[in-house]
Amino acid sequence: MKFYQFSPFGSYQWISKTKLFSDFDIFYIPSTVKHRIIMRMNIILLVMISTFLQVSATSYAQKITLTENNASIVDIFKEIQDQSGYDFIYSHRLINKAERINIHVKDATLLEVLEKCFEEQPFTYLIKDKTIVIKEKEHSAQRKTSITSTIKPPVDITGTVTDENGEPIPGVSVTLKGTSLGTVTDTDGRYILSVPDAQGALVFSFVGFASREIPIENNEILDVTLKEEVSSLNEVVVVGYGTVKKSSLTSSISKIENKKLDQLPELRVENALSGRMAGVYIANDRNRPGEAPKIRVRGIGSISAGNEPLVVIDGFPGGDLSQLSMNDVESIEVLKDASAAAIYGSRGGGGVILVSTKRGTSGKANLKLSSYFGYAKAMVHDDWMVGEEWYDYIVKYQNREFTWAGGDASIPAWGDDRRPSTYQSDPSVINMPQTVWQDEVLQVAPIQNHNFSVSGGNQNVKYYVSGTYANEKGVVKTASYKQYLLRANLDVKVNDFIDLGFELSPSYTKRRIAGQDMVNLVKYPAFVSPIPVNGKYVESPTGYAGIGNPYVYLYGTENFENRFRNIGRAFVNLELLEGLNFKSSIGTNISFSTADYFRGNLGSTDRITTLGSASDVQSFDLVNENVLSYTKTLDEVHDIGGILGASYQNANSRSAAIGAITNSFNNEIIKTLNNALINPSTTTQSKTEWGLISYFARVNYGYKNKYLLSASFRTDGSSRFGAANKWGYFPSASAAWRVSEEAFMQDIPVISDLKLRASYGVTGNFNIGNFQYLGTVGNVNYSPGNETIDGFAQISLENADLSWEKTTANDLGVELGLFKNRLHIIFDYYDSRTTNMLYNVNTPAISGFNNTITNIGEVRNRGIEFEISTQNLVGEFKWNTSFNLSHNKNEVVDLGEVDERINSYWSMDFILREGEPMFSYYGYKMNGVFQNQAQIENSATLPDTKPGNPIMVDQNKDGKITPDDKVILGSFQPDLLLGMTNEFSWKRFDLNIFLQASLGAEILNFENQYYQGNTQGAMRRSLAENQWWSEAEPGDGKTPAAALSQLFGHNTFTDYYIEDASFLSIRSLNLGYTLPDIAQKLGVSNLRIYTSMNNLLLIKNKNNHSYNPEGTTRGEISGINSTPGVNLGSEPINRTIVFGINFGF
Amino acid sequence: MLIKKFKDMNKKEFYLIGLLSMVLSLVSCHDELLYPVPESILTTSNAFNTADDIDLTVVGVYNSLQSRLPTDYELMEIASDNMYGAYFATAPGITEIQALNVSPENPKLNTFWQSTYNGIFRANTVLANVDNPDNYADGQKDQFIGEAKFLRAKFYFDLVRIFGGVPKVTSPISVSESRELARSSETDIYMLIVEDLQDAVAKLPRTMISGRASKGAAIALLGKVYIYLKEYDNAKMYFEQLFSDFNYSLVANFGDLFREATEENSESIFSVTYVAGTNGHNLAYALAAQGGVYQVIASGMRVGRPTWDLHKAYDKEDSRFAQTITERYLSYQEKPGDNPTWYPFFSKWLTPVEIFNSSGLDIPVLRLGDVILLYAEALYYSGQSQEALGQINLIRERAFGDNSHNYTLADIPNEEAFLDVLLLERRLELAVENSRWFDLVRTGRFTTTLTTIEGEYNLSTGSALIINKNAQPYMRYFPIPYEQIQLSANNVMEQNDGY
Repeated sequence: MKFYQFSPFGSYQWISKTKLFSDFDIFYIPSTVKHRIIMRMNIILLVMISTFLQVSATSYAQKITLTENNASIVDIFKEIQDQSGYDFIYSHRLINKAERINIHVKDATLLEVLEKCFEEQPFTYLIKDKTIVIKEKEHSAQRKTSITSTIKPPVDITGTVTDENGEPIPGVSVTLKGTSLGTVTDTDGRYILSVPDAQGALVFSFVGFASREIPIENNEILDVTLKEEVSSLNEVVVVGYGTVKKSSLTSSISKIENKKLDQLPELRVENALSGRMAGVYIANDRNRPGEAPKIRVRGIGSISAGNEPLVVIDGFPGGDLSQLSMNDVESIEVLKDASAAAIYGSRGGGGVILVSTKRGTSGKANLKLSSYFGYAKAMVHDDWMVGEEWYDYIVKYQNREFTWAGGDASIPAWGDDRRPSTYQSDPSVINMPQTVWQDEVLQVAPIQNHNFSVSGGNQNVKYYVSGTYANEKGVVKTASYKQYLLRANLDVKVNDFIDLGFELSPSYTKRRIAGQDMVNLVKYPAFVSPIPVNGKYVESPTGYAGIGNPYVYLYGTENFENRFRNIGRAFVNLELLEGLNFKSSIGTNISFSTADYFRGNLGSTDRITTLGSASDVQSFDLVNENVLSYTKTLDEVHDIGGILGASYQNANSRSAAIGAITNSFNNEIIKTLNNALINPSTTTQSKTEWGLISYFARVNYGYKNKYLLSASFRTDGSSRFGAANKWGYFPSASAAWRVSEEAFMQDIPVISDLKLRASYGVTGNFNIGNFQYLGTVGNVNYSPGNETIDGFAQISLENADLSWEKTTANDLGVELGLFKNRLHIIFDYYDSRTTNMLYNVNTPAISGFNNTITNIGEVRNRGIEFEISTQNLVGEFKWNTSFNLSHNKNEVVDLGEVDERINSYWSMDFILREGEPMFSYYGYKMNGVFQNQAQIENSATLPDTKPGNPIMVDQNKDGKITPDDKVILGSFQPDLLLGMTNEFSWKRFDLNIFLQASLGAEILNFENQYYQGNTQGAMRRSLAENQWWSEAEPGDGKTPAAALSQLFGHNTFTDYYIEDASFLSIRSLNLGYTLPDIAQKLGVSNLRIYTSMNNLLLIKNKNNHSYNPEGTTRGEISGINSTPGVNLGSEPINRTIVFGINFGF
Repeated sequence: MLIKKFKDMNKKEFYLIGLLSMVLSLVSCHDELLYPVPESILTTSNAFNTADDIDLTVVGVYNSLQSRLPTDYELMEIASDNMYGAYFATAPGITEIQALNVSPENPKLNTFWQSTYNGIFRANTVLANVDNPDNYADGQKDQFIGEAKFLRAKFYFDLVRIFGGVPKVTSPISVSESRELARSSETDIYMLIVEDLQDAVAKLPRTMISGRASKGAAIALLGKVYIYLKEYDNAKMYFEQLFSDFNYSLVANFGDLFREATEENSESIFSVTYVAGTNGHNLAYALAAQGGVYQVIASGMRVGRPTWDLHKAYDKEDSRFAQTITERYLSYQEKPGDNPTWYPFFSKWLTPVEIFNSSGLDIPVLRLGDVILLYAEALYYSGQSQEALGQINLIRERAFGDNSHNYTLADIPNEEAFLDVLLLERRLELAVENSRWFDLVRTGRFTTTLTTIEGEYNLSTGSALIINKNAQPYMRYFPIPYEQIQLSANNVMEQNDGY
C-alpha cells in the first residue's frame, strides 16, 4: 500500500499501492471544531451549489478507538475525523453503495482503521495531506470486459496550482480542453478533476495570470505553476458590441481595470479614474458631495451640443456613472478615437465610456465584504486677517474710495461728519470676538462606503449580486450625499444554443446641497458672532458684506435632490452556427428624481425672504438592440469577424414643478409646500420625448494576427432633427500592423511587441433639446388690468435642415513593448475636426432673434498621448510604474458668417475667434499700475482712469485705449496633463501612489476681489498687502487698486484676475496589508486591511489664490454664452483619509 | 444523432424567425420614433389660429416692451445730465454712456437694439397672422391690428430717436433677408411711425383695460411724434383732439402718480403694467441705496444716482422733489431714531416691495403731464405764447399747490428763454421717465448743456464731482451696435458718422 504524502518541497511521493477512482468534483474544507459555525455557513453555500457533495470535520487525536456494530460508513467517517483530525471527501453516489460495518479497534493507527473499514467496500481511498479521498476501486480487467467493452472508466487528475513563489492560488479554473468538464482550485490551490481518460489537455486559467495548457499524457498528477501576466497583450478589451484581444486592437482605447480603485475614498466612479488614462480629462469644478465631475475625451469640439462622452453600462447606451458603485465595476474602457467610437456613431462625438460590471464565474460562491470609513478635511487659506490688521486695511480701502470721490483722506475714518458715512468705518469692531468664517463653515466630514457581494455559479448559471451603501458628508456644513445601490447580474446557459442574461441595478441617491458659493460663506466680517441670539443668527450691520449670515444660508436652506434609477436589461444570445451568434436585448433606464427646496430665515433681520419649491422628473428610456455577429478562423491564419446590428431607442420624460409665493410660509416648522401659498407662475408640467433608430455593421480581418483591418458603418435617424436631415452616416476604418510578429523582428529580442495603428472615423452629436428644429411658440407674461396672463411669442426660428454635428478624426498610434514587455509604450497622435456644429449662430436682431441653432462652423482638436508602463522590479519586491501624458490643442477653425464672436461677463470677454482656442479670455493686457495723475495724463487710458488703475497696453500704438487693443489673454484649457501611478508590493504589503499634474490652464479668479476689501468683508493678506493704496503706499507696482468701484471699468478688463491653474498633486495613496493564515483560521479566504489618502499634497502656483485650481463656478462650454474658467468661490479640495477592510469568504 | 441535429435546427429556425419578425416589427415603427408629436410646446403651425390665439400674441408684444422699459434709463437718463452711473453698476457699458464715450461694442446698445427689434418682430407676427382666425367678435380684429401698430410705432420711435434711421422691417423676414436689409432713412422710419399711428388711431377702441393701448394712447403718441418732427400744427391738432374727445385730467397730488394704489388714474394715457412678485420690475432695486430703505426695500443696486445738477434744480417748495429724490435715508436694517445717512438716490419708482427685484408699480409711457408740456411747445411754435405759458403753469400749479411759482410772459422774452423754461419744467416733471436726453437732443441743446456736469455731491466739501461729457453734434445718434453691423452682409449696415 502506498500513500501520497505532501512534501514541503512541493512534490508527491508514492507511498500507496492502490489506484483510486472518483467521478466527481471535489471541495475541500479545513477542519477545526472551533470554527464550526463558519464551516456550517460554508456547508450551506455548498448545498446551494452542489447538493451531492458532502463535507465533514474532526478534531485531533493520535490513536483511534472504535467499537461499532452495523454502523453506516458515514458515521464511522465522522468518528475517525473526530479522533484523527483527517477530513473525508466523497460523493453520495459512491457512498450509497457502502456496506454496513462492524468494527472493534483500540488505539489503532489511522491506516489500520482504514484498512479494516474498506475491506468489504466497493471503493477504496487515498490520503492526501490531511484529507482522505474516497475513490472507486480499480476494476479488474475481467470485470471491465464483462460490463462494457466501449466505455472506459473515468480518471481523476489531481494537483496543486501555485504561483511563481510557490504560493497556492485558489479559484483557478481547471478545464479539460474542448469540453465543459471543469473545476476550480480550493483555498490550498488543490483540485481534482475527473476526466474520461488520461488523454487530452487541461487548461488552467486565472485572472491576472497567463493561462496554461498542459497535456495529460497519462499523468494523474499535474502540479502547475502559473505565471503572473507580464504583458497585457492577451487581455480582452471591450469594444462597442463585442470584445477584442488587446493585441488585435486597431484603434485607440484606454482600459482601466478595477484592481484597487474601489478602495479610494471617491464615491463617484469618475474621480477614481481621473488622470489615469491619457487623453481622458476628468476634473472637479466643484467639490461638493455627489457632484458630477466633467469628463472630456480628447478636447472639446462642440459649442452648443455638449461635450459629454456617451456612457454605456453593460451595453446600455445612455447611462449615468452616478448609477454605479466602483465596487461593482470590473473594467472601464474609453473609446477615444473616432474609429472605435463610430460604432456608437450618433453619440460618439464626445468619446464613449464602456463600463463592464462584475459577473459571476463558475465555482464556489464568493462572498465579499468591503468597507471603508474615514474623514475629509478641506485644504484652506491661512491668510485671513482679523482684528486690528483687518481694520487697518479697511481704513486704507475707505480712504482710497473717499479720495477718488474728491474727499480728504486725512479726515478721521470714524465719527467725523465731514466724511460721508459710506466712507466711514467703525473701529470698535476690533475689540469684538473675531471669527474666521472660513473655519466656521467648514467641518471635518465623515465618509464611509460599505459593499457586500456574492457571486458564483456553475457551468450553466452564474450570478453576481451586490449591495452598496455609501455616505459622504460635505466639508461645507450641511452638505451630504448618500447612495444606496443594488446590482444583480444573472447569466444562464439554457443549452448549447441559448444563453440568457438579466441585469438589474436599482439605485437611490440622496443629496443635500449647501447651495452657496464659498464667497457667500467666507467673506463675512470676522466681528460678527456665529452664535445665534434667541435662535436667530446675527446679521452684519449695513455697509458690511451685503449678504446674510453664512449660517442663515447653510442652516436655513434645505435643498435636497433625490434620485431613484434603475437600468434593467435582458438579453438572449443564440448560437446559430459555430461562431455565428444573434443577440437581442431589451433595456430600460427608469429614472425618477425629485428636488425639494426650502429657504427659511434664521437671521436677525428679514433680509432673507422665505421661499420653497418642489419639482420632479420622470424619465423612461427604452432600448432594443439586435446584433448578429460572426467570428471564424480560416486555415489558422485568417481571422474574420463581423457584426450587423439594429438599435431602436425611445426616451420619454415628464416633469412637474410647483413653487411657493415668497414669504407665504405660515411658519418655518413645516417646510413642505402644504404650508405655503402656491405661486401659479412657478407651477408647470411638461412632457417630451425623442427617438433614435440605428443600423450598424462592422467587419474585421486579421492575417496571422499580424495584419489587422477593421471597418464599420453606422447610420442613425434622430427625431431631434429637421424632416429633411434626420439621418446621419458614420463610417470608420482602421488598420494595424504588428511588426513584432514579422520574421525579421524575431532576431531583435529586446523588442517584444511593436504595433503600428492608423484609423479614421466619423462620429456624431445630437445632444440638443428636443424639437429645436421647429419654430416654437412659448409663453411670455404680461399683466393687463394688473392680472398676469400668459401671452404667446415665437421663441425660436424653424430650421427644417437642422442635422447632425459631425466629428471626423484621424489617429496614428504606435505600441512598443521592450524587454519582454517590462517596458510598454503607447503613443498616439490624433487630429479631429468637428464640423456642421450644432451652434446657436448669431443672427441680425432685425430678424426678431439674436441667434438660431444651425449646423455651421468647425472646431479642431489635435493632440498627442503617451502611456508608458514599466515593471521596474519583479520578484519579492515588486515595483510597477505607469505614466501618461496628454496634450491637446483646441482651435476654432470656422464660425460661419462671422470670424469671431465675443461674449462678456464681468467685463471680461470670452472670445470665439478663428485660429484660437474656444472661449479664450480676451481683454487688455495689463502692464503695471498708474501711480499718479501726471502719469495718466501722459498715457493712453480708458475714460475715468485714476491713480491705482491698471496701465493697459496700447497694442496698436494709436495713443488711445480702444477695444482694438484687446488681445487673447489665456485659456481655461490645460496644455499638458500628466498622471503617474507607482505600485509597490513586498510580501503581503502593497502600496499604490498616484500623482497627477495639469499644466498651462488658467482660471479667471474673480473670487479674489471679494477678499480685497469689497463691502468691508473678510480680507486675505496675500490679496491686500500688495495693492496700490495711495501714492505714498503704491504696493508692489503690479497690483492695482482692487476696489469694487474699479472692477468693471478697469480691473476685470485686464488679465489681473487671470491666474495660473497648474498644479501637481499626490492625488491618492493606498497602502494595504493582506493578512496571512490568521484569516484562514477565521474562515476567511482573503482578508486585507488598507488605508487610502487623497490629496496628500497639492502644489500650485503661489499666485493662484483659489481653493481649487480646477475650481470654476459657471460651468464649462454649454452654448454660445459660455464663460468657462470663471471662479466665484468653488469649494476647497479635500484631504481625505480612510481605513478599509476587505473580507472574502 | 442526425434527427437530434435536425430538431435543433428546427428550434433554431423557430427562434430566428421569431426574433427577426420582432426586429421587423420595430422597423415598422420608424415614424413613431422619428416624428414624435410635441406634447408640451406650441409651434408656428398651430399657435395662431383663433381670435384668442391672436389676443395672446398681442399680449406677447406688450411683454417685449414690458421687459425692456425698466432698463431704458441706462441709455436715456445716464446719457443726460439727470443721472450718473454709480459704482455698483454691475453692467459694463454704463460708464461709457455716462461719459458719452460710447463705442459700437457697448453691450447696452446692442441689448436695446435686440430687445426692440424683438418687439417689432412680435408685432409683425400679429399682423402676419391676424387674418387666420374667423371667429373674431365685432371690432376685435381692428383692435389687435391697432395695438400691434401702436406698439410697432412705439418701438420704431425709440429706435429712431437713439440711432436715427434703422432697417425697416414690417413683416416676418428670414435670416438671410435680415442680413441683406440696409438702414432706411430717418424720414422713412418716421413716415412708417406716422402711418402706423394713424391706422392705430382709426382702429383702436376708446377704452381699453389698463396696460393695453387705446385710441387716446395712439393720439397722444402721434402728437408727440409730430413734436419731434417739428410739425407743430399736426401735433396741436392731435393734442386738441385728445383733450376734447377724452376726459384725461391731471391728478392733484404728483406723488399719486407713483403709488401702486393710485397707479391707474385720470392722468395715465398709456402705462405698462406690472404685478409685484409675479410679473414685477426691478427699477426700485436698481436705483435704491445698497443697504435698502427702511420698511421699503431690503437692498438696492444703486446703478444710477441723481446728479447734483438735477438735485439743485428743484425748488425747495416743489412737491416733485420729494417724490423724485431722497437725500437721507435709513437703511433696511436700521430703525427710527438712527441717524439717517446722506446718500441722495432716485426714489420716484420706490414703492414698498416684498421681493426686492419685483416691484408692481406701473410705469407710465404716456401721461397727461408730459402731453401738456408737449402741447405747450406746439402752442408756442404756433405763435400762441400766452397759451403755451398757461399749459406750463398748469404743471407748476400742481407741483407747488398754488400759482405762486407761475411763469409770466416776461420770463420768456425769446425762444431761447422759452426753451429754458420748457426744458427745465420737463426735466423737473419727467426726471427718470426717460425724457431728458431726447429733449436735449431734439432741441439741439445737448451740445451746450452736456459739457461738464456735477455728479456726486460731497457734503463735507460742499462741492460736487465734475463729470466731463463734452457732447459733440454727432452724438445725437448713438452708434449702431458693432455686432449688428458684423452680422449683416458686407457693407449693408452703415455706421453713424463719428463712430
